[in-house]
Amino acid sequence: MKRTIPLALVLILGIVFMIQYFIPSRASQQFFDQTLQWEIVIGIPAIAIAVDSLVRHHILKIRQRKKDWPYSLVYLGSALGMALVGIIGGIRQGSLFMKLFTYAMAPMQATVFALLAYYMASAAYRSFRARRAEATVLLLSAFVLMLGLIPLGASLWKGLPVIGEWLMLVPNMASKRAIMFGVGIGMAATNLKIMLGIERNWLGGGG
Amino acid sequence: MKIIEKMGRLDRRLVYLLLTVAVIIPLVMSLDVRTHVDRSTLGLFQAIERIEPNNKAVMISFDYSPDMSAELDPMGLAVLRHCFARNVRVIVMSMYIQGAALAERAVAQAASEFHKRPGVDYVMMGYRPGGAVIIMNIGENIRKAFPADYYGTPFDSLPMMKNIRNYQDIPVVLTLASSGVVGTWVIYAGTRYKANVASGVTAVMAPDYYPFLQTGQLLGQLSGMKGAAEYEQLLVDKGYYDKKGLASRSMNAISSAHILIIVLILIGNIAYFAVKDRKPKREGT
Amino acid sequence: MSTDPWIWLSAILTLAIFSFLYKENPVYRFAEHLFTGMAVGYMVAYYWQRIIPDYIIRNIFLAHNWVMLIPLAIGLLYLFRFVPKLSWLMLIPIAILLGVGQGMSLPPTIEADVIKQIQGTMLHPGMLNDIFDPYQGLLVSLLVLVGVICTITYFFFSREHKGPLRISAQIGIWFVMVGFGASFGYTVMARVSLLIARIQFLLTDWIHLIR
Repeated sequence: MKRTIPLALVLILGIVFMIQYFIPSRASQQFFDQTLQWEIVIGIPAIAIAVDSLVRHHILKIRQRKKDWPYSLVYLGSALGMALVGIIGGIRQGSLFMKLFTYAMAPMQATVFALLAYYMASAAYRSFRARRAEATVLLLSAFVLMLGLIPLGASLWKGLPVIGEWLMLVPNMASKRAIMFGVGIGMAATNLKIMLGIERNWLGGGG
Repeated sequence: MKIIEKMGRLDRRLVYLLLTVAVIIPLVMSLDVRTHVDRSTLGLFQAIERIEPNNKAVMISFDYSPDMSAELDPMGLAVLRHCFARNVRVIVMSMYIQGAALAERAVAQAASEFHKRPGVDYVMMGYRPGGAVIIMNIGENIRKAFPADYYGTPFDSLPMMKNIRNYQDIPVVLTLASSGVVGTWVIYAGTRYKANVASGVTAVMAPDYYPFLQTGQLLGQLSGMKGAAEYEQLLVDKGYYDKKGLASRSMNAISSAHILIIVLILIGNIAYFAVKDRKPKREGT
Repeated sequence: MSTDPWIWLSAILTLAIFSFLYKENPVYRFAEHLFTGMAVGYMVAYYWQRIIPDYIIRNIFLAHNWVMLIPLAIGLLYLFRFVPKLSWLMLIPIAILLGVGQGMSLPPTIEADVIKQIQGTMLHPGMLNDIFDPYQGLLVSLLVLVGVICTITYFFFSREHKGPLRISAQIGIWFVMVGFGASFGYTVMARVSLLIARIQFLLTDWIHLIR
């Protein structure tokens, strides 16, 4: 029963809403509309699980004095602090919450991803080799595009941005379309596998 | 030959330093340059140009978090300025929880520049959970997706929203995205509800959505910081704004960084082939 | 130099993250845990201030919309995760969201990702009006058709690539290489843009080297 009920729900609801897409009647639309409202409310309590997952790991680390446990104190302290500041002081523009977001949280998050520029440059320098003809084609199209994207490229030759744009709109588009077919059909197949109960990873250990 | 070999084995910290210098020098020099405007950027610009002022509203969804704000914030600001300069109303929302704060920051800045009023010229709806469910809720009845705005004002108290019921009253839906959420908008809003969807994406994702551009499933697309720079240039050229923004000022730095990376790759390849040619071949190969 | 303490805070935290470029160090680890913790707190505060008041208090209790207590009760089944013997109950809201989501997404996904893409690849008589148009003409459309079909055959691994399949797969790989080259070029711009924004902040807002 513990697995049968969830599997049955997925199958029945999946089929019902697949068929509903093709039924334009008023009753069908009202049913669909009501379901959408329910979906939002059903999903809201899941935040408790999300916060628990994120916080429990660090509480355990502190209790067991595992390696680097003081950083877990920083994590929990900042989570609690930010939450309290937002709950008590509000989250509008100009509040302490928004200032902490704008001047602490957002810059740190942005900087972590800015590091990627350095790793990308280093990796491209060390490993991008035109060993085969295909790799050479890849390299040449990358160079044409990189020069076409920049104003300096347009000053060297006006045709570069136009060729770069053409590469994007024609051969790149063709290859990405083929990949999109595969992904679309793959997603449809996965959807069906989940609905039919063939794919059961989502059941996890809970049942 | 030894020099070539050494050039192929530069310390990674030297590469980091070269990249940093390549970025700083053009930023300090601050030269003004023109950017070639792509057809995909023009598609979005012209779609907003066709909207009648003080009538329907454009929807802009800030679907990204601060890690990608460098590329997407300038886009959001540029499009907001375009809308406000033309007196086109704007509905701002986000499907990313941190995107709500970024959206508020952008709309507060643009609104103050053009003296626009919340509830009348724009509404800030904030983050709504549910992803595709919210997109479909907007398609059915926008009132049900947004019971109140970001500031707690009930939906029915927002004068601008009186005649806006669903996508039929929203001529352009723009998603500024750093993930596959563009596909979600195209699938649910574009396919199911026939909404006119456009995208502003990080440069990493830009090549992936050209099939949607070709079929018309996307009206237009801004691709990375260059897309933002193109839009800023169009605003200045058409007289909607008096100066170019952050993205335009960054194009020179992007130029020098690209040249540096091309040179590094070429050096790496020259060193690789020079060393490879000198190594004695093993027996049997 | 800026005298705004918030700008200084921002700059110090930015440099703390950049310190990772030299090597991993306690300053970086501190900053990393600080912002990941703040992200959790942000989420909690937002839900408390916006989501719960709008969708639960206003929509259900203030509007006397008691039918909506049913989905709320279903959603609260998530909390049984904390009761080991009844933790299977949390699968019910998951199953409902999953089933509805799969059913709703399947038809429009096939339409958007497959049918519309097939339509976009098809040749039509309108292309004869301008055979040489570099974007929509007949020749270019033929190139796209060949590219799409050959790329699909490249990814077809159920048969060995021999004979005509080998030729078409080989053509397909050229298109894939151009596509990946394009992706690489744009990726370079993307990553560099992120770096430029942080350096712009340090040089403009903090040090005032750029006006």
